[in-house]
Amino acid sequence: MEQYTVELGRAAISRMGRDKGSLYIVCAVDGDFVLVADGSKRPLEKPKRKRIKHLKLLPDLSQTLSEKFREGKKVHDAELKSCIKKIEAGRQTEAENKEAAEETGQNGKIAEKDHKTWQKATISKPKA
Amino acid sequence: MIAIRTSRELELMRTAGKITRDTLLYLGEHIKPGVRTADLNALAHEYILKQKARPAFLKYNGYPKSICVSPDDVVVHGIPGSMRIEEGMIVSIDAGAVYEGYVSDAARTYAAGRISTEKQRLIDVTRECFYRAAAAVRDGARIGDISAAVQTHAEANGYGVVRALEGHGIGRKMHEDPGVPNFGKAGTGVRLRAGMVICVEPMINMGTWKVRFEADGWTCRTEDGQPSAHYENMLAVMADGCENLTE
Repeated sequence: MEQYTVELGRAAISRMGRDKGSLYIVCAVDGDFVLVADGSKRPLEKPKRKRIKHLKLLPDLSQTLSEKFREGKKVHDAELKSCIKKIEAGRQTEAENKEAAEETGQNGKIAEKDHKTWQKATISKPKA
Repeated sequence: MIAIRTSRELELMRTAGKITRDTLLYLGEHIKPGVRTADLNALAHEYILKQKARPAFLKYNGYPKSICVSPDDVVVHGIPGSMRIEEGMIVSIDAGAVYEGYVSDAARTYAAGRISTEKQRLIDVTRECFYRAAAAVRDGARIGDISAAVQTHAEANGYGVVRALEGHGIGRKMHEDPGVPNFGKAGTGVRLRAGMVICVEPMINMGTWKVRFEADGWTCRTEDGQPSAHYENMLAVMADGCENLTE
């Protein structure tokens, strides 16, 4: 099974440190370390230096930002923020879809536990 | 930190490697039009358990199945499900096993029934990319030698080399240092040492090198919808070459 490449424009989540859980974009690579920024708490002017192994690389890679970083073109914090917002929205949708799938069980059928509860509720007779 | 394996560790990794090799051979016999990808997953799962190992992919970083089944334009990480294999498809299978705490990982691309000449050529060239890369592996060589071997051969044949994903070191964990990209310059990167174990895995697209990821967070497809092939083996670096642990 492959791993995601460490490259400019790649999204990553911090796994260690006080910023654990923060979502960043890789803006420079230096051996075992990268510089990451998010355009707000960590603007491009003041990126965070992180060890690669302290980051969880995500499949999300902004080709636009990647090319701009590689070609040395100006990147604005607003572009980073916009990119991160899209990634967060995508991850939120994923999490919701996963939750919905767990509630309904596979193949859209009601999860066994809930189904039995429902059955029990409908066969109980009201008290006189 | 890149691990240098002891002889005992290499022995365990050889066994883990054989299990993955045999799993892929077994699955290869079952890839036929009409078979569901979920059925292939079930076969692989049972087979690996019978070898007294466990599927390395199941629950790895949340991956939900025991193998990856990636047809046509799916590059990697296709999640097995209700989809049926069709005549003319090429199907990449990626599998791994954990044996006594050591992980193995390998991949092949198979033809489902009769396939086009173009798809067969893609599979053949991808495999050739792997062997050219493996020929560069020895104590003292550089990761860039592997990367350049893959990229040169793939692009000489007009194909795109996937850049978003790469090979990797392997051992007690699925993904260890160093990364092994499929593109780069010879003579650059980490120096290989005897005792390292790496997975070299060219992922080659018929069209563009660009890929996209689906909302499930796993499935990776070619951006232009053209097919992709994958060939992976686990290689133990030796003084004068390498030992292929999964073939």
